Amino acid sequence: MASLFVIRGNDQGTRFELTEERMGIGRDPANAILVHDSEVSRHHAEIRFQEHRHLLLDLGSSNGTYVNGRRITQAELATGDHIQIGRTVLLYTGLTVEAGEDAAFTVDISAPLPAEEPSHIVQTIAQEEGSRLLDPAAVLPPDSWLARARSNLQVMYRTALAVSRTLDIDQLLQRIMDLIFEWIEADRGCIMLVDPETKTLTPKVRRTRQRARPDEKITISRTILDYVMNRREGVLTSDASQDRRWDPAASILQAGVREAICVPMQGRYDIVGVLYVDTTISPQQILQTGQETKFKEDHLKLMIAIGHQAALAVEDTRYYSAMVQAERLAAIGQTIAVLSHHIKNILQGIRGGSYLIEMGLTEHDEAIIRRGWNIVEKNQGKISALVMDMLTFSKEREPDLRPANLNRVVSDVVELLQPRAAEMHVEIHVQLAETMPEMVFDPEGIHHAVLNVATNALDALGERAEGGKVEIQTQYDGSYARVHVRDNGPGIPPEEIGNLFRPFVSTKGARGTGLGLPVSQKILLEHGGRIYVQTEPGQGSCFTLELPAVLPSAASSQTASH
Amino acid sequence: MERKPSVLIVDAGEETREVLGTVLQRRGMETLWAGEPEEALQLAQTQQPDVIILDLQVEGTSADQLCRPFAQKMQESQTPLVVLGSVRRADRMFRGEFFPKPYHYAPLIRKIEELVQGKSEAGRPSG
Repeated sequence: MASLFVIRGNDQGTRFELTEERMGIGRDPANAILVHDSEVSRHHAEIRFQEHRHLLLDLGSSNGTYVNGRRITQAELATGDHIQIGRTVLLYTGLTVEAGEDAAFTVDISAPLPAEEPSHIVQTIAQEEGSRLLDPAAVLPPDSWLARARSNLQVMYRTALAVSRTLDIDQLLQRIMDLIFEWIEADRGCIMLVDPETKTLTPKVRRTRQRARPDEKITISRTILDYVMNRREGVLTSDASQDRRWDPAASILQAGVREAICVPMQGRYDIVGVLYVDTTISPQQILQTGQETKFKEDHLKLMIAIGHQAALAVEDTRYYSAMVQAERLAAIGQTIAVLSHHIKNILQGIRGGSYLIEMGLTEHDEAIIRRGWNIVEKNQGKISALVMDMLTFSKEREPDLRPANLNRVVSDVVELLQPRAAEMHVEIHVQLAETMPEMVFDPEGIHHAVLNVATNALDALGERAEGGKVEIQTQYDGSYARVHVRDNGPGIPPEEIGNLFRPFVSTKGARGTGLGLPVSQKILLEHGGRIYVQTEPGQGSCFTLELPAVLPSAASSQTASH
Repeated sequence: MERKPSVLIVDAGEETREVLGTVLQRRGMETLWAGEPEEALQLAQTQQPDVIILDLQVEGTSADQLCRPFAQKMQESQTPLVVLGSVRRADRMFRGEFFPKPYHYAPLIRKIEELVQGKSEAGRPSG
C-alpha cells in the first residue's frame, strides 16, 4: 500500500494510506490527508492515482507545493520523495510491487567461479583504506593548493564516514567537533541545535583547546547567530570593527572575539543548528609567525560543507526516531484494542450471569441462580487467565523454579479440562512416562503452558467435535522431558504457521486473546526449552513442549553456596 | 389458538444464548437459534419470528460480512432487528436497534418485549 508519512510538522508520525483514486491534502477537515499546519492552504494539493502511478498536483495553494525542494504544480511521485507543504514534510512510499523489471531476474548471482570465468580478482582493499586515498602526508609542498584541497577532501571524507556510523545525535555531534578541532586551529567551538519544540538554539556540544581555560564560558554574539540563521550564510569574522556588516557597538567587541567562523547547519528543508568556532591571536603570536589570521575562506567553505553533512545526519536521525516512535504507538494502540475487546466480552458474560442470578433471586428459582453462577464463574476463570497471560508476557512474573513432577502437572491440567472435553464429547487420552524424575522448573508456569496448548487442541476440534480426540503424552529421555499434545482436528493451514507465536494474532475470534501461544512459548524459553509443532491439514496437529531436564541434585550443586 | 411470540437469535455466543434463552422463555416467548446467516434466513422465512437479534461477535471478520446482507434483508421484510455489537461501525451499518457491548440485559430485554408487543399489536387488526 502506498503511503504518505509525516516526517516533520505538527502531524509528525502520522501515516496516510493512499487508498483512493483522489485524495485531497490540506487544512480543511474534508481532506483525506488532513494537515494541521497554518501555512497550508485549506485545499492545498491533491494526490491522484493514474496508470499505476501517484501524481501530486498543487491546487493553487498560496505557499506552494515542493517535491524534494523543488516547487511543482504537478509531479509524478517516486518512493522516497519528500513533499513539503507549509512547514509539513511528508515522505512518499510507493507501491511495493514495481511494475516492470524485477532486479532478481535481471541480476544473477553466479555460483563459485567456474574455471573458464573470465573475471578474476586483481586486487583487494579493505574498506578503511578509502580514507588513505586522500592522505595529506603525501609528498606535496605543505602549503600548495593541491595539498590544501587534498586535506579538505580528507576532512569531508571523514565527516561522511562519521555521520554514516551513528544514529545517536550527541555522539554524532561529538565526532563532528573532534574532526573540526583536528583540522582547524580553533580555541573554542560549539554546536547548537534548534530545539524542535521551542525553535530556539540550544548548545549541544562544546569544546575548548587546552590553552583556553576549560571552565571559561563561550559567549557567542547574538548578532552573528541571527545573521547566520536568517540569511542562511556562513560568516567569518576577523576583526569586528573593520567589518562594515557589523555594528561596531554590537556584542562582538564585548565578547572579545578576534576570529570566528559560524555556519548554518543547513538540512534538506531547514536549518537544524549552527557550528561555531573561534580563536584569539595574541600580538606575540602575530610577531612570532607573521600571520594575522588563522581562519581563511577555505576554512569557511569547508565548515559550511561539514555543517550541511551534519545537518543531514541530524535530520535523518530525527526522522528515524519519529518513525520508531510512531510504530511503537501503533503497537500500543493495537494491544489496547485487543485487550479491551477481550475484557469487554468477559464483562458481557459476567453481566449475563449476574442478570440470571438476580432473576433467580427475585423468582426464588435456584436452578436459574445456578446457571447464572456458572457463567460468572467461567468468566472469572477467563479474566484470571488473561491477567496471568498479561503478567507473564510483560515480564512482571519471574519463573518460580523448584523441584516438581511433570507428570503431576500434566495430570492436573487434564483434570481441569475433563469437564469441558466431556461436554464436547471429546476423549482425552493420557499417557504418562513411567520414569519421570523430579526436575527443577516452574510448575505453575509449565502448568499454564500445557493448559494453553491443550485448550487450543480442544478448540481446534471445533464445535462439532464428535469423534474428536486429544492425546497428551509425557516423555523423558535423560536430557529432556517432553509433553506432546496431539489432536485430530483440521490441522493448521500453512499460511497461519508463521503467526502461531505472534502476540495478539488469534484465529479463535472472540474467544482467543492471541496471547496463549506466545506466553507458553515465553515460559518454555525461560526454562531453556521450546515449543514446536507438527501439523498436517486434515489430520491434526501435535504441539510439543520440550523442557531441558534439570535434576534437583545438579541444581543444588550449582547453588552450593546457599 | 394464539401462538407464542418468537424471537430469532443469530450468531450468538454460548453465554448469550443461555442468558437470552432462559430469560425470554420465562417471559413466554419462543426462541429460535441460528448459527449462521444462511440458516437464519431460512428460519426467518419459514418461522416468521417477531423479533430478530443479531449478535455480531467479532466485527470485521468474514462472519460479520455475511451478517450484513442478512440484516438488510430482514429490514426490508419489516421484522424488527436488534443488533448487539461493538460501538465502532455496527450502528452505522444497521438501521435496527443497537446495543453496544458490553450492554446491560435489563434494557435489552425491555426493548425486545416492547418490539414483540408492538409487532403483535400491529398484527391484531388483520388477525
